[in-house]
Amino acid sequence: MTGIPRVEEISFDRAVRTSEAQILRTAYRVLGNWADAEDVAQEAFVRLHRHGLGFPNEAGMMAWLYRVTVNLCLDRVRSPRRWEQLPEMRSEEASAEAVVIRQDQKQRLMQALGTLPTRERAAVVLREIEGLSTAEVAAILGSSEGTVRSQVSKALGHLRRILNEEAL
Amino acid sequence: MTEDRIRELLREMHDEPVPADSLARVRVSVGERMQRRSHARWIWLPWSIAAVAVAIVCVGMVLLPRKPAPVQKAGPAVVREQSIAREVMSPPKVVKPAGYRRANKLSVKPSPPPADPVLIRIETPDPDVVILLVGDGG
Repeated sequence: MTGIPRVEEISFDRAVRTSEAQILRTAYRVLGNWADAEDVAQEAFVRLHRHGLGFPNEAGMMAWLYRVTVNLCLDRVRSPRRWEQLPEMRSEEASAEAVVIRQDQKQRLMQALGTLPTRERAAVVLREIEGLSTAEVAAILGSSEGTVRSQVSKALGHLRRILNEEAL
Repeated sequence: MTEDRIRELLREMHDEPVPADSLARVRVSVGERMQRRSHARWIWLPWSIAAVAVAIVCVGMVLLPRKPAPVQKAGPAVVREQSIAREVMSPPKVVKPAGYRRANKLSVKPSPPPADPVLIRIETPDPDVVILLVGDGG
């Protein structure tokens, strides 16, 4: 037996509480605004309830939730929406100046992220922000590991170019 | 900015807390939608039970007339048997003149004149056994 509890053993409410932050954050990073991210997260959890908690473990449930969330985000992005830039959350860092610089960099990075094609953006969010493996991202996006690697590499190159152009 | 720096910033984004009010809104909306779903299920439950009951009654009505059918078929047979029995049991009501039928038959197909029956008696060595052969004489 592994230490991971079977998902049937935990209630739906607990499942929501354990995954809501990750799902909401992923939706926000892909969509760029909290209002849409909330709608997507809400819909993902309603679908989870309909689907049931018959997953072998929590990792399986998370993979399923990520897949649903990314697909909902892709559907939403198909209808043209504005990439709303909301202020980033505070982080307790050393000096106030360093915090301001970092916040500014993150804000610019977030804006640059918004210029990526949606699937590339989803790949970067899942791989680099959420820290999933290439295989997991490939399974969530329904593509091969090679495609994910190339999407992430291309996206990072694109982000670097944009951020360096802005800095000049 | 290098790619490593970009990666570092992206990883930092993972640790940033999600706004509490957003999380609360998602929780409340999910709860409300779950409640609405369960309400809808309870509203539809009596209707679905009624629909199933109606369907069962309809099927029953279609199937029921097929059972008495053999009884209806057996009906004429019984009547016929009864009539035959009545014929056998009841004494002849009207005695028709003997010539009436014969005259009728003769008009259709003339029958040969009746002949005397022939009786052949064969005696066997056993005095108790006698063989009798009866012929119509025609």
